[in-house]
Parts: sequence; structure tokens; C-alpha cells
Amino acid sequence: MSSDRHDPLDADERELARVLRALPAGEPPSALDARILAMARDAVVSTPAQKDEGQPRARRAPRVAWGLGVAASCVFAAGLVWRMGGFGTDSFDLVGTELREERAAPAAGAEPMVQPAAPLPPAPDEHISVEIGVPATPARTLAPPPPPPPPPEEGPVPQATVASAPAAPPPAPPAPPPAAAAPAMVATAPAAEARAEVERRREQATMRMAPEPAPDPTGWANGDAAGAESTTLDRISVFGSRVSDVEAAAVVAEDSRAGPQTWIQRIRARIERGDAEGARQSLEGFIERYPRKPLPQDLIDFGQAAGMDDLVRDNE
Amino acid sequence: MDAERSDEALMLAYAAGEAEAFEPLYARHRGPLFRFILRQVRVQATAEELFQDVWQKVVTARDRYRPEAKFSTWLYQIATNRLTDHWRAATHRPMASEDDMARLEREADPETPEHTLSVFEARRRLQRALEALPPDQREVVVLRLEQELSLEAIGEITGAGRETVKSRLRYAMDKLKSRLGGHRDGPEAQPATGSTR
Repeated sequence: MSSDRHDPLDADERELARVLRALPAGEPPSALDARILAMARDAVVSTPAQKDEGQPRARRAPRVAWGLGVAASCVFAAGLVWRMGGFGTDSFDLVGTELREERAAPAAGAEPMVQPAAPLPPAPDEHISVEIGVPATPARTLAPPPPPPPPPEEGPVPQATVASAPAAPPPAPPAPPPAAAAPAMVATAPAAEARAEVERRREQATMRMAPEPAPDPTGWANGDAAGAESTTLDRISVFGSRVSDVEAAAVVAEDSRAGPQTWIQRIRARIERGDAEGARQSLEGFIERYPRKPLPQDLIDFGQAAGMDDLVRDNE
Repeated sequence: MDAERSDEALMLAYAAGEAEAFEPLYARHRGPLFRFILRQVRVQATAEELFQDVWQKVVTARDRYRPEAKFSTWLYQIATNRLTDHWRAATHRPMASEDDMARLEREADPETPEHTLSVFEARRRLQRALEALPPDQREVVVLRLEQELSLEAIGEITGAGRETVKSRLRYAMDKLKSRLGGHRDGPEAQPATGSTR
């Protein structure tokens, strides 16, 4: 194309071309030239900048998409694991396994000698008496007592505490139960004597505590067991302070519903807070319920001091 | 160095981002292109507007330029397309009336045939004769007389076949010669906006 792009003009064309080229209107004004040159220069100069601006945008989009994808994947995975019970189930299973092991350990052995001193689940009327400060009424006494805690669950805890912490500092002395100062709960003279005897025997038992007292499944009268019981008694006193305002009859009825271990503890708690009459009634009920159950020595002593020689002697 | 580079090399360099390559390219074609446009539209302001449009199109379409085509061909194709758009738009505008054309003819009368045709007179007549040509004929004859392009090259620019270009050129030349020779072409002297393609 380039070779035959230009053809020489013939004579007529040359004449006309000569005239045509001589016409005015030859060239664009310089201002127009400058405007066009500037436009062309700006177009080339601005293009790389626009490309530079566009490239990060083009790279930014995949980055954002990548981040969103990762976040979505994490959310999806977390939701999937949660739906399958992956998070909480493992940890709960672990805790459950530990609990089952703890529960299974004492269950494999004999019946625990000492009942736990864990507080009972708070009963609604107990809260009412504490918060309002109103003595319990007979109507409230007739209210159903809180269900006793299952002994197998609470058994091993205090036992392990007693067995593994002989050198541990003794637990803080129990706060004086409010019921002990209550006029309605004033202890009688025989009760005071019995309480003094119990204190004395508890001190003796504490002094006789072996460094590693092995739990004696049958040692109701065992000295070591008595020491363990004394340690537990301090903790029970806290529990006793909660139920001190409950009338003795109701407590006796309540004690009779509990297992023998808890029942013994409650009798002791009643002795601790000076409720000798209630303790005596509860002990009588215990002996009637479990005539062949050997009594701990402190309760034997308490029963003898309370005039229950015949009853107590049979359970020695 | 730019003087040694071809139009195509300069255009490719400019398309690649070399801004300095545009200036020599523009310098080579600014005059002929402007005259080509001005011969068509006959109005300086309109020619300048179209001239700027053509170069703006060159700039914006620089990435689409391929060296297989001559730059001048590509440039004049752009100009031709722009002129076509101009003529299409002009069909909606009132054209010069026959009275105006008659007035132009009368103005030329005193100078012919008694006076010797001076160069100035020849230019004036040629100008009027060009204005009287249909756009497609005027386009072809201008490209031929000013650019000395071959029929094939003109055909590439205008998009017409070689024979069509040849026919248009022959008609245009006859009219110009008759006008310059003092002959009146009658109705054909009227400015035409239609295409004879």
C-alpha cells in the first residue's frame, strides 16, 4: 500500500493543486496546537497514574475477598463444630468423667465413715428467717424440708480432706451460732454438761489423730474416726447455724429422713449448738431406726449424759 | 531522531507512553489535515473544532492503532468519519439558500471573463467550486490534489472502492475545471450534502 499510496498528479490535477494550495486557510492557530499537544501529553502522563491507582484496587479486591473467605470459613467451621457438639461436649465430658471418677472411688470402697459437712441446699423458709428475722412459725415447720443431699456424692469430699490434710491448719472455729444466743434455744443444764463432755472427748480424739488416718469403714467408735468427725464437726457447725431456727421436732423428722451418716452429723450439730433436747430426741429416733447400728463414742457419751443409758448401751 | 522515525513508529511509541513522540507526528500532519477539514467545512471555527476532535480521537484510540495501516490513512479515516458525522448533523441545519449561492455567483461575475484571471481570482473560484461539490466528491478531490494520494489510498480512507473513488474524482475534476474556466454548472453548482457513493 505504501508503494502506491501516492500517485503523481497529471497536468490538470497539478494546475488545480497549485491553485488549491495557494488558497488561504492553511494552518490551525497556535493556540489550538498548544491545546492539542497538552491534551495528548496529559493523556499519556495520567494513564500510568491511573494504572497505578487501579492496580492496588485490583490487588485489594482479592485481599478483601481472601479475608472474607477466611472469616467465613472460620465461622462456618465454628458453627459446624458447635452443631456437632464439639466444643462444650468434650469439656463437659471431661468434667463429667472426673466427677464420675470421684463418685466411683468411694462407691468402690466401703461406706464412708464420716458424712460430709457440706451445707444443705438452702431451703426457702431458711432464707426467709434469715432475711426477715421472724421466728419460724408452725406453718413453716410443716413445710416440706429440703431434700437431703445424696450421701454418695458428698461422702468422699470431707474424707479426702481429713485424710490428706492432717498437718493443715485446723479450720476456723465456727462462728457462734445465733441460735445458741437465742432465748428460745437456751440449753438445759444436762445439755450443757453433755456438750462439755463432747468437747472434751473431741479434744482428746483430735490429739489422738494419726498422721495418716485411714478411713475405717466400721469404726464408729474409732478414735481416729472421732478425730475425723471432730474435724468435720467444725464444718458442720456452719451448717448448723443455718438450720438453728428450725424447731426440734421438725428437725428430728427431717433427720429421720436423712441417711444414718447425715443423721449422726445432725445430732452432733444439735449438740454443738446446745439443742440438747432436740439432739436427744433425734438420737432416740436414730436408735429406734437403727437399733443395731453402732454409735460413735461421743453420741454414746451424750446419750448416757442425757439419761438414755438403756438405749445407748444397746448400740455401743 | 524523531525526524528519522516513521509515522507508524512515532505513533507506536506514543501509544507505549512516550509523550514526546506525539509532537513530531502532529507537526507532520497538522497542516494537511487542517486544510483537508477546512476544505470540507469551509468555516474556520468548524474546521478547528473538527480538527481538535480528530486529534483527540487519535489520542484516545492510540492503543487500538496497529502498524499494519499507514498512520496517515488511519488519521484521515478518523477525519473522514468525523466529517461524515458533521454532514449528518448538518442535514438538520438550514443550508445556504439558492439566493446566497446566486449572490456568490454574481459577485464573481464582474471579474470574469473581462479580467485576466489572477491567482487570487483563481483561488476564489476554486474555493467556490469546492464548496459547490458534493462532500464525497470534495473529499476525494482534496485528498487527491492536496495529499497526492492514490485512488487506492483514498479508497482506504473513505471506505469506497477504487472505481468509486475514480468516478468521484473525475466528476469533481470536471466541475472544478468548468468553474475555473468560467462555465456555470447550473444545478450542480449548488452545495450538496448528499453522498454520491
